[in-house]
Amino acid sequence: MAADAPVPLLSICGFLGAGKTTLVNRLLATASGRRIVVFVNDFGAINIDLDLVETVTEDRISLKNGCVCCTLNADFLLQVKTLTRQEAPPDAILVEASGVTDPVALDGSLREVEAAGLVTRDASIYMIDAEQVGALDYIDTELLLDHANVCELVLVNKTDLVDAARLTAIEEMLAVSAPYAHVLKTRHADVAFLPLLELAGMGARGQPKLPHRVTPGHDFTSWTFEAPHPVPRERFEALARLMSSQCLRAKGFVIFADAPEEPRLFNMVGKRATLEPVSQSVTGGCRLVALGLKTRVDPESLARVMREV
Amino acid sequence: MSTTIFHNGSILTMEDGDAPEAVAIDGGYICAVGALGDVRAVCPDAVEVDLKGRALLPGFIDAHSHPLWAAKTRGAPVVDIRAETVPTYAAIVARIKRRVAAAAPGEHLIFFGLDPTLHPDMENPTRAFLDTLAPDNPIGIQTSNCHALFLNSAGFAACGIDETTPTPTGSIVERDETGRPTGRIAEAITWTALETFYEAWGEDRLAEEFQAQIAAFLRNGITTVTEHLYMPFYKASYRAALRQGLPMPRMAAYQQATAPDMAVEKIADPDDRFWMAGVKIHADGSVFIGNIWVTEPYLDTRITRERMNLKPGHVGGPNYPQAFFETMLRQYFAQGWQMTVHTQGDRTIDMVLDVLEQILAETPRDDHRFRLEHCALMRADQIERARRLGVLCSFFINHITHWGAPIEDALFGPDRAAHYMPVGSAVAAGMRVSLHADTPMTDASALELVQVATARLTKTGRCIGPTERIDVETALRSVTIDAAYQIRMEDRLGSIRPGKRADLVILEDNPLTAAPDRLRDIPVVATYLDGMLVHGG
Repeated sequence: MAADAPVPLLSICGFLGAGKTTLVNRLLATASGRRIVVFVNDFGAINIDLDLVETVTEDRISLKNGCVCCTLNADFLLQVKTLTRQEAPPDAILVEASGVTDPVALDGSLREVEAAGLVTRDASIYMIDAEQVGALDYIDTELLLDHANVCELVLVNKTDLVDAARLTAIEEMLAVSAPYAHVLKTRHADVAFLPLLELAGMGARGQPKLPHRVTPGHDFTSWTFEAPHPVPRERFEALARLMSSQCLRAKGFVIFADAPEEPRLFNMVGKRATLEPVSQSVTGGCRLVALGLKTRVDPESLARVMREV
Repeated sequence: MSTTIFHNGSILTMEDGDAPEAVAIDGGYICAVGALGDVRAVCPDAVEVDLKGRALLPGFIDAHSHPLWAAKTRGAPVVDIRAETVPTYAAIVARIKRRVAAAAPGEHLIFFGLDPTLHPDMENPTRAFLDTLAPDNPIGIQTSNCHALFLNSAGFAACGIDETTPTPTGSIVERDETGRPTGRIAEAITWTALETFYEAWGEDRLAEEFQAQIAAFLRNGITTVTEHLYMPFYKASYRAALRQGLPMPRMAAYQQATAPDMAVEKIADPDDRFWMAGVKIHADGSVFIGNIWVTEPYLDTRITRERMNLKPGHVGGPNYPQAFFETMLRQYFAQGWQMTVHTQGDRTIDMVLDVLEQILAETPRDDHRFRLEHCALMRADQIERARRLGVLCSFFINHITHWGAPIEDALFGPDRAAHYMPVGSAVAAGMRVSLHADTPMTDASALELVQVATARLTKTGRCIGPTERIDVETALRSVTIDAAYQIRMEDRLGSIRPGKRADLVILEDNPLTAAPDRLRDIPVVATYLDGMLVHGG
């Protein structure tokens, strides 16, 4: 059963030069034992320490740490099929789309892969080159904002190349025009990415099992929430609404007071949230792990709503 | 065109009987259906298409759409401000400012998609406010339901609407005490005003966007559409597309009537590519701006009060005075046209059925196939009455996905939401229903219609009206053979039967056995129109 469960799939979009490849390189170097498969457009840009490389073929680089780097091409669906059906499927799949890819269109093709039951869509990340933004014309500015609006995590990268006033202007533009995106400032795509992956992988395969908390790193904050008894549905919905505005991701079990026999798995990625029935027995009332950007989360308001639950 | 045989897949004919093994088409018609050996025997030199386990269905039919109007309304340079693209009103204002800053002097600008139920901080933009945003360019902000438009002073001037302009019967022009328009106009005058903008953008733009629209229908396996707000000057675009040999879906036109003395164009086509099918009247307006006519008032909520500007106890009204509507209906019905009447509120439906019952009592007509369009708040007793009168319903089921949550929470409450777009009740009553996306209001996709009608889930996964769900097979009929029946083409379109037009679609998976929550994602592998491959391969 375990091997059949879908693998979490994350996507990275952004204009050419935004820093996507840097992010991928960083990720591969810091996978910490997680087996991540990355689909990239351009092999040439991937900069992997030769000592780490195990095998290289025309369209695949396998690393000694278990990660794999593939080229993104027409065989994407087939490759995902092969990867996810192998004996030890990867912990996560990451798709780095080319600079011109519209995340909305990408979302459509990723939905097809998801429809095949191979993967489950996880966070979508959008990268912006802080230096480039100011030079964009009207059409590209609108395109960038449309893209940012459909992604959960927006990285404003290369902040070291612009002055404070310019950076504030970018942040203000995003706050008004992409109000639901979680924005993080980075210099060289230096985001401690791991918590996002940890949470993505959580419960994805086999029996859902939640670690006590994820490693938040310097950009994120993470916390757990537990209620000993079944919770009123409307209170939980209030909490979910608040979390969807403040947190990037939340996952866990919940038992509603009006349906104590039907425990649910709550899974929130950005604004999308699902409540699925779980087969195994769950005791208590509610147990959640949530993750958000330090800059976005207001621990006090969350704590207040949690107390009410 | 050589004979082609399709085999080795699931063939859903939409006819009674077992699924056949093979289908052959020749010269734009289906020529044989049956066991592979038999079909091969009658078509010995055919090219064979191995379906490799995929599904073959008749091409889909969208019974209520607006392809050319969609090209005008949604295509560039119209700026998309729908909530799924621009999530808040503050973001819309910022986008308008950026667009105006980039505009050429005097350039006409339209922004499409303002939505009182989906833009949480929405305000009604006044003429004065829009003048501050755009002092020199004519600009218009159109609501996502298409029925209302907000204009600035330059916009009013460009459209020739001022204090001296009378408000046409059936339309709304909001004015101050001196009669000066204050920004918002609604219904038919909206669509004529918008033509000023479309004309300013020129014919080339329209041709290009029209091509993109018809390609989108074909990409979704839709081989027959209706132009449900046809105006005589639309003809040039269809004729041009056909003359250029563009793969245009079959087009059934329903001419828009706003007065009783309109000449309905008689357009017939031996090839069934473009014809005049009937006359459309808007008996009421949009659920989302409040100009529909209901028995039980709208809920009194922040959305209805602040964003829709409705007073507590609001029950709306019909678009036209009842007598005026009756005169129109009698006129075009007497000319023998099939009638399609836009009705959302239950009181509007009462009014329409009252008039129709009287007309039928005076001048009985069999097989009139009188249609009610959208039917959001149709009551159970009205479904029974409609069936008795031979009236057919075409449901705008996508309301559930896009606006289901605010419909239940903010507009009508759980009891009315439970039977909103009552497709299940109509099917149970024995009616042959159709479903539609009303493109440009929502994007064209027959499989999406099927999924929404069978699951009735909002975007966030809430089920609205579980008892009104229908099974996948019935839903498929409603976008094929039953939709063909509703446009009076069931003898030529909508199913796989020898002698019918060779309009076919190949789907990656069989919708009858695919995961019910993934129907909309089933890839459309190929679309055949009149025997020609027009999408995929």
